[in-house]
Amino acid sequence: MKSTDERRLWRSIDELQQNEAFEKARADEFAEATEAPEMDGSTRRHFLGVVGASVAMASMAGCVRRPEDHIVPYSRAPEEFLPGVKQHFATATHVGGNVIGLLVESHEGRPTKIEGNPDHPSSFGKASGVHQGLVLNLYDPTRARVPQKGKAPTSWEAASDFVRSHFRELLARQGRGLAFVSESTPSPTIAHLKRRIRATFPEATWHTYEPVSEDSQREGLKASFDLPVRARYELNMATTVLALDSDFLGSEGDTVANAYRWAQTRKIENEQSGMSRLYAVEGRFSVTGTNADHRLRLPTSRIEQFAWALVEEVGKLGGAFPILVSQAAPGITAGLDPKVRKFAAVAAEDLMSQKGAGEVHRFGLVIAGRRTSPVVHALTSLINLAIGSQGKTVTYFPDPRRADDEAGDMASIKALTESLQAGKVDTLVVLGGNPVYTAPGDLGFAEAFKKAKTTIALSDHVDETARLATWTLPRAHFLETWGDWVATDGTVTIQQPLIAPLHGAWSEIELLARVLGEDKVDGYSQVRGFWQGRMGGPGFHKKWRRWLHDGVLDTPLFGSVPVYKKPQGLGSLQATPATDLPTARSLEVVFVEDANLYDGRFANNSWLQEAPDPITKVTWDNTIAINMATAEALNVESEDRADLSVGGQQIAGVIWVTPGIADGTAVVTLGYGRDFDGYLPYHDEGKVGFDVNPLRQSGSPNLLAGGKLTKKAGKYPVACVQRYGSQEPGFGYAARPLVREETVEGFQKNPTFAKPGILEHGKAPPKAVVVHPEAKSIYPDWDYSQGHQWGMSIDLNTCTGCNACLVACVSENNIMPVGKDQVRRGRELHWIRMDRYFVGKDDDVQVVHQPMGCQQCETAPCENVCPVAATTHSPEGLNDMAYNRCIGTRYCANNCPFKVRRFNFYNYSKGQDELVHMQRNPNVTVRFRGVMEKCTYCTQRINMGKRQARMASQQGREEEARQLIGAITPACQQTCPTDAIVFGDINDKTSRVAKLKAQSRDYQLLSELNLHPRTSYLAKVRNPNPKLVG
Amino acid sequence: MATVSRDDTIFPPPLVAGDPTFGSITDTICRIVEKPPTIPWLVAFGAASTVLTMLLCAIAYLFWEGTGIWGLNNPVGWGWAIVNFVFWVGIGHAGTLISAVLFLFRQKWRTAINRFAEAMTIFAVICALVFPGIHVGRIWAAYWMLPLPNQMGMWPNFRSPLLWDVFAVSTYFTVSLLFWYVGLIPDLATLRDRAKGKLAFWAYGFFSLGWRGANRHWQNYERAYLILAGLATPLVLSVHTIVSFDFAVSVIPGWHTTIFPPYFVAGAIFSGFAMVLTLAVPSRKLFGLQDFITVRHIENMNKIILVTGTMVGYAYAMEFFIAWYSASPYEAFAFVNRAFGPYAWAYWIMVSCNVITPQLFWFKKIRTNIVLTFILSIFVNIGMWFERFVITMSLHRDFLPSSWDYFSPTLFDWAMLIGSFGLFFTLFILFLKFLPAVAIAEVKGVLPQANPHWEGYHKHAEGGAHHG
Repeated sequence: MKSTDERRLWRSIDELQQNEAFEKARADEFAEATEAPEMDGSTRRHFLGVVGASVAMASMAGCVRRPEDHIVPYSRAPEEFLPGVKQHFATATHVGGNVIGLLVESHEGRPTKIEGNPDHPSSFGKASGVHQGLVLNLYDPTRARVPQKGKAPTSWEAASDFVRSHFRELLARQGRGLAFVSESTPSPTIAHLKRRIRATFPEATWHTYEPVSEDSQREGLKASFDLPVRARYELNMATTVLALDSDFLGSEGDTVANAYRWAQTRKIENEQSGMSRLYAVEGRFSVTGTNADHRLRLPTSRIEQFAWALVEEVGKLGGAFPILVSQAAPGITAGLDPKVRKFAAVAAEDLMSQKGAGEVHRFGLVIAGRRTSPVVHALTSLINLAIGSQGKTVTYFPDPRRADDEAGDMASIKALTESLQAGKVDTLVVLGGNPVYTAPGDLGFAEAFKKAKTTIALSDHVDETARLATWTLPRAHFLETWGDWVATDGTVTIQQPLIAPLHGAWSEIELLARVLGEDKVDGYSQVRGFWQGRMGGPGFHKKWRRWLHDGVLDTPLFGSVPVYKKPQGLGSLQATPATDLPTARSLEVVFVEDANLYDGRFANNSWLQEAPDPITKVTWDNTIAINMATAEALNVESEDRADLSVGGQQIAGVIWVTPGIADGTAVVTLGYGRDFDGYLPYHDEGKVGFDVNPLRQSGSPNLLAGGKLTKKAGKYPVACVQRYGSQEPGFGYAARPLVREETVEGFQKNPTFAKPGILEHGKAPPKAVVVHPEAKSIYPDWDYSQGHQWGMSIDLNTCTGCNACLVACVSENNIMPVGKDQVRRGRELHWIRMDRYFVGKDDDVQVVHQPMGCQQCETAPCENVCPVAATTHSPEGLNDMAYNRCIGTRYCANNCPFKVRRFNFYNYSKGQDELVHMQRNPNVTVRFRGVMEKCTYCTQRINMGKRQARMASQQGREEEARQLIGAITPACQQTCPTDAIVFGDINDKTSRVAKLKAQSRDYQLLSELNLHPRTSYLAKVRNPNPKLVG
Repeated sequence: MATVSRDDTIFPPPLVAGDPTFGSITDTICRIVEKPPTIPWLVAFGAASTVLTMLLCAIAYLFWEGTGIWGLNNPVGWGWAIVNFVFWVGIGHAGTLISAVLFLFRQKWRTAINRFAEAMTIFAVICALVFPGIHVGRIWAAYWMLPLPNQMGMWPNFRSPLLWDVFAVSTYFTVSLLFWYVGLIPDLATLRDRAKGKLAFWAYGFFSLGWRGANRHWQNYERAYLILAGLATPLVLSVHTIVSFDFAVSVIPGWHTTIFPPYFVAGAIFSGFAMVLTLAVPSRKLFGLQDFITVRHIENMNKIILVTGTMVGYAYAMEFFIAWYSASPYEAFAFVNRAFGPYAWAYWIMVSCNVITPQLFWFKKIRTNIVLTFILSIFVNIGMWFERFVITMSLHRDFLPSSWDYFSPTLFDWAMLIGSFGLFFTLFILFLKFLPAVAIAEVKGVLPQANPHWEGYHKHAEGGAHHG
């Protein structure tokens, strides 16, 4: 207002006085509106013209009859519900009896994403890939939808009537001829119903069968404790850990909690920080083995001998063992390979030296895996006692998964088969599970199954079991029904549904309630009724509501078992005599659960099928994995078809050569080769993988000696996502400094070891810091010192390579599975590639993992080559993708040095069932064919966080706004069980990411290309024992 | 004549053999157009258009399904479509080079082949332009690469080499087309004047723009032709330079190379001349044009192939040297991998065809042997296609070994490569039938009769009637 007219009009005193604040406000008043569009010439008149034309066109197009739709307003809105705002509900589930508490994200009533519950002791807010994948199972279009009598669909009323009348009849006979087979279900309500069933039908038998069995732990620990217990590991207190063929970080037990706690001992600030040490002794190559500081390749059958040697060595150092044990040891360990002996001695010394060594938190820990014999578990508990770890790093809890007097998995299924064969079972109720597929081949379960007159399968699919059953009852997904689960340490969580059953379904609880002829058969009444009966009283409803909200009950179901003092039943255990070492001609066949499909129960989950195996990187298939020496001896190579025979049984399979497996060991994976209608809706090649269950034997379900591999003609195509597994490119060129690694000692000597990384021609990576000259641009550099600047730090020291981030990303970002054929063509769409490199020679290799998503380069090579500017840089340092601008030249992907951009070669979402659409995150675009996509640090979450922060800031709550910015978490970070991924504002020097980036281990990949990536890595530090080195 | 070579130097043999007259030249060339189609022509056209149909079907399927029908994968985002594009653009170089550059240098021997070569250029560039158009993921939005005003207020990204490509190739195509068309005008008028049918008269008349052969017409024509030649000459250099930027401006080892512009231009001329020979050798036989496209023409072109082939060989060697000398292990690896890695077979096909075979042209016997020339020209064509393949496949192994993969072509890759030849030959065969394959007016200009001091005039003046 520079007017000199005295009589000018004014709006406020401020204006009259030409107050500075007013001037600013006036200038800002139409700030957004006054931003002129880039292209002028679009006038109002022009706009009206266009609108008029559009209306004319629309009215022509309007001749099409549109379907009538009703818009239903929320005149009576559900409580606490805002359309467009996601909600989280606490619930829980279990996989093979291992319970995890979850928070499930829900959009407008649709559960879309599974996350961990921070208040749950098996989760700590984290979830594994498998857990997160479960949400897709809910929307599996091939789920069983209606009850079937034989093959004929029937109604729920008919099913209900049948169950009532049938079991009323059985009641008259005291349940004679009635048998149940259930999965291992640590549910108090189910246990309660089970007890009532046993009371009501005293003649009935109950069999609990889990194909991935923990029999040997149960049996071994029962010998020690005289009651079935299971172990929970306080890994955060363990400074030396020895894993005896145990994949406690990958697929055994409470993996999420284990990884979370183990990582706490591996996080280091600087070269002075202490770090735990992990030894692994195993025959297969597990995720745990890849993370070990020392790994001993030992045939699985020799683990027991090693455990005895360890007993001896611990004994030599003063560890106390029952006389029975210490006397037996020398006889068993005679003739032990000196190398193995040395390993045992060094590990024993390390374990013993932790015992009470000055600090409170210094304890060793020995963990035995599923496949080891009961003796190993018993010995492990003794060793843990001897090294003073019992009650510290390992606690034992009652096993709630089956009644104390029940037989183990294999004994149960064997007993059931025998009763069936003997014609003692008229009515068999299969409560979930798929025993026809999973039962060990030697039993002939499928044939026996047909002998029962009435077979009722409560099943997710019309699967192998349901197909043979006389009645198929669709089973409810855990997000559809009520239940309760008790974790290893006794923590109970109510399984709270988020959605009504999509097609109508019963849970185990609901079926059992009907079997019992209850009045109130719905899950809610049953579960709530049980807890009211147990912990009822005044104020129960309030308590119940809080349990549902928190996802944990305030009191655990049980406490830990007191520290073991005296061996009660050790005499009952027989040491397994050491057999000959396996060879290529007489293989040791090891059966392992699949890292993604487990025992096959997730075979219809395309996310999990497409998630690569952490070691082999094979998707959509299982393989017969052998090491390089064995492959050479047998003259076979990867993708060769082969027959594997053992114990008179034979299966077809495909060879996959994986370094690091013990010599003469063939590792076969469960869970593939499923055969039922609707198997894999996204896959048009029919069956994937090979069913290995026919080889299994109930007497020794995990390990068989004397296997023979016969090479067959032809190749079987395998879809492997990483074809080249070494950082050494070949032709004698030095290893590329991608995963930078040092030992603790080396780190102390050279704290900045990770910084140099520029390769010199023909030389090993330099030891000294090589500073690449700063490349200058002819453009002025963008000023990134203002506002939020997003960055990420990935700690390779704690990344276990478990795939949780990969599945989280798929779930959050609507990433399409592409199928085996497309993966084989190299077109998988995962935004995070889990890079796995083998380090070392031949079979004695170590493995490093490196999650590789878009690095968000500040000077991104992808951006300037896009002809249509579809990928550009945001002022906050994100490398943005405008999907609807992308025309798909793929130039950006070509020019990406990390090759982390993914292209939609086809319309991968085409033809998907509408049910699957319900899983989609509404905040993320589903990409059409011809469009490039990639990681943007979950830009939708960033924007949500910024919106919330801005609202807080506008209301003057600055501190809260700052916290809201700090709380922005991409899906991968959120779920990473080891917190290896940290995201945040690097301009905020107090943020965790900024602090991590300031560590001396921080490095950027390919820094010589002047990319300035926003993702940097923290170099890996291994903690080898100097006594074992060299 | 024992001293052929000396005579050749001082008295070069006539550019047109067989002592033709103006009239006989007109007759010979126009007869090809005026005669009804011959059986061989029909067979050739039938075959070519069948292959073209295959291309069209493959493209239709591509539009329907997406780029997934090709063998592309994640590290190898560009496959045969881009290889074919660069290959055809390269072929499209000889035409303009022969026409414009040789015209400016007053190389009169060009007149017999320039029409031919220009037509080849136009058709090759058409083939080339097919590929960038169809290789994008969302074909219906491909026009966003053009700087058209739009409601999004978005311009294309002027920093992208692909955009430079759009401009470079389209400019080249426009100028080449104009240059060809301007050169055609007098000959179209000749055909119009000789036309018997209404349609031919109308069509040739329309395109000859009222040409009457007036002095003024000739003056304008000569000037326009000269200007266009002047414009086209730098474009010959610029278009492949810019095509090479698609690779050179990236950061990928094996692509990020400053030698690319001259190397690509040399390669383009090399392949262009080879393609001219591949086409000229059979056509001169088929249409009886041996008097126009003489062995001398062929030998000259072979010499250019020898020179450019050697340049290309030098570039290959220099790439290796620089890869080593740069001390960049990524770069060095990329080249060792090229020669000895999974695509070594392609690399050695390239080297054999492009570096070794042209060296045979040091021998005059081979240079002047029509059959051998034809065979060797095909080798060069193959070699130059593989050169682009080898370069594009640098993508299969770049920085992070975890991302490495292998590209294998699918049936559709093959269909489109072969189909593009169908498009090319269909156009070319149509050209041979409907347009004068040799520049009538220009050939007349290099006849001895065109020289005012031609001794024949004296002969004619002294005795006998003047004819011609």
